[in-house]
Amino acid sequence: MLKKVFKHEWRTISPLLLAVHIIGLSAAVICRIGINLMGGVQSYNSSIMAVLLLFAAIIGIGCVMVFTYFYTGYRFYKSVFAQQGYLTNTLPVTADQLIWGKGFTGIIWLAITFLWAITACMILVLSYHDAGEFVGELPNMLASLFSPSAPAIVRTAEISLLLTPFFMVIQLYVSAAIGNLFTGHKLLASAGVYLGLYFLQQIAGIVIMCMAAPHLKTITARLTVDDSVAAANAVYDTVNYSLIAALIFSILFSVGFYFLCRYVLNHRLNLE
Amino acid sequence: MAWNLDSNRPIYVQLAEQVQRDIISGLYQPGGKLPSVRELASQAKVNPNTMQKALTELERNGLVYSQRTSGRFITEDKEMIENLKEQLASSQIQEFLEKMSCMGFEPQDTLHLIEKILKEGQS
Amino acid sequence: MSTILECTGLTKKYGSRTALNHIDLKLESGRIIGLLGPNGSGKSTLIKLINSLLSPTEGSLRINGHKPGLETKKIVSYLPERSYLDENQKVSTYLSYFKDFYEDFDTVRAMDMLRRLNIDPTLPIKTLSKGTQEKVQLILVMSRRAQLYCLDEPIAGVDPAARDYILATIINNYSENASILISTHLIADVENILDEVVFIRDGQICMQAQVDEVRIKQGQSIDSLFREVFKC
Repeated sequence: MLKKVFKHEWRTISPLLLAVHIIGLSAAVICRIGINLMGGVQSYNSSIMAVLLLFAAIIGIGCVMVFTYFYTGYRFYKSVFAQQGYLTNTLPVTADQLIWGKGFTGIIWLAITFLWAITACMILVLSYHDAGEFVGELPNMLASLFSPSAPAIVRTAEISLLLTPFFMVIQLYVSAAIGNLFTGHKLLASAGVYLGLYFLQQIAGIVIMCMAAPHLKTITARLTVDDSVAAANAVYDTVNYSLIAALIFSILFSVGFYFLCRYVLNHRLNLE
Repeated sequence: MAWNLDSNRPIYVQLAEQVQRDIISGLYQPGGKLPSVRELASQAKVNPNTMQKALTELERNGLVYSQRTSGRFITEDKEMIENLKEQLASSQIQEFLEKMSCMGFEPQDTLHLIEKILKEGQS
Repeated sequence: MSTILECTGLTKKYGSRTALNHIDLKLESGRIIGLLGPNGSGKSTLIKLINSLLSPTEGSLRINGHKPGLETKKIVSYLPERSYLDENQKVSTYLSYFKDFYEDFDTVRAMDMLRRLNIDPTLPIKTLSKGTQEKVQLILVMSRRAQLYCLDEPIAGVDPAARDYILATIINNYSENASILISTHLIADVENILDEVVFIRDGQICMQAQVDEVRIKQGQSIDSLFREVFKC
């Protein structure tokens, strides 16, 4: 059943997203040609028009990513908590299957849009020579990133990067689930809940920073005695620990969101 | 064929009456096979359960009989059908005579009137 | 005959408003049952509870012996009041959707009914008229070999020809072991296909009876009995 939920959700959300990404990529190619025609963007003496076009293109790429993200959330809202929910919620599937099945489509699309954005940026800025070099270096870069000897901070960053799509998707879903509890203007309520949760997490981020603050003192202390190696180590540790703390916070939040979402699906559906 | 059903009377009784009329009129021949419950129900636009009950009623009267696998058949007893036909006809006439008497016609007057109308129809 | 639905002390409150108030109800399988009551009497609430779209505030609900959940969703086929079809999808998408999720879905039967209405399954839902969309949804729901069908106001807001079609579809697809629960306030239109009626008012069951018994005992139609019971 999990597979079936995934399959049908994938079929429903993919056509539009695929079209947007293909059009986006074509637009990036066109922008690149345009920039080249206008004389290109160099560190000196570049045409203003070319720079503006590059900025516009990068903003466009950002918009596609944001759209992809919120579109998956909107589809979840629409198929579970709006009119179509009458069918979705009477299917013989469990709430877990529903969240994971649909969630995976969102996670995969987030990964796709992330890789897509990197590709689009490369199309915009890399010269032929650089591009060739980059592709040639890619296996080495990846190997060093994922090698067992990579520093702990890289490990932490990798894990965070891999888990981020999960956090992002469940945050959308829980917003839709809480938004569903309101009478009327549910989509608006969901957006409000999303913003609320966003700020809540920002506050958590600040708390983490404050927890790291004692370490900052030792850094400054070391800096004053001019022990640069010790200071560097302290900076490194501080960053690593705050990354780990942020990761743990995100995991706790997400698990909480997941169970909240599940609870709403099982006991607090509010279809009108 | 329209089945006119009156919601004030039990539906199964009316269905049984209708099937009975169809047998008497010869629409369903003696010894012939009756359409399935589902078909009849669909024709009459009623629930198959109700049609089933109506046919069970007719089975009780002996007008139809069911063969375990092949369905329901009309009785081959022509005399029985004739009797029923007569019963139905006489009850119709009884009803008619009652109505006429309400209008002040004695049975004799009614008979004369019928003869007169029949003659007019012939000429 | 076995019991398909049993409610004991079933209560549903929305905040302070009580939609269903300690309902005790038992429905047998193999029957077509009318759930009759004025608007806002609790018909839809009861049907949503059966389909686990709502959780009871109090009391219990058993469908074929099971609490509402995964097992009951497999055997209950539900037609909600409003359309749940995604207008951008094709009719055929829904055929495969139902086929995938419901083991009891009969694609051949559904295709056959669509063909008879001259509906091309490759068309997107949005190209169909409102009435046709409703028929498509009914075809999907009635093409399941379910044990309990819950049809919430299936004939409200459609023209008389469509009404006939809908009732005929219900009768023709009904199998003897299944039960159909039809909620409506248009009694005259459905009463000839019912075995049994349940009258519901202000969240309480005020009568449950066999229709032909009502006609024999009271000598009146369900419609006129309803008017009498619910007289303002």
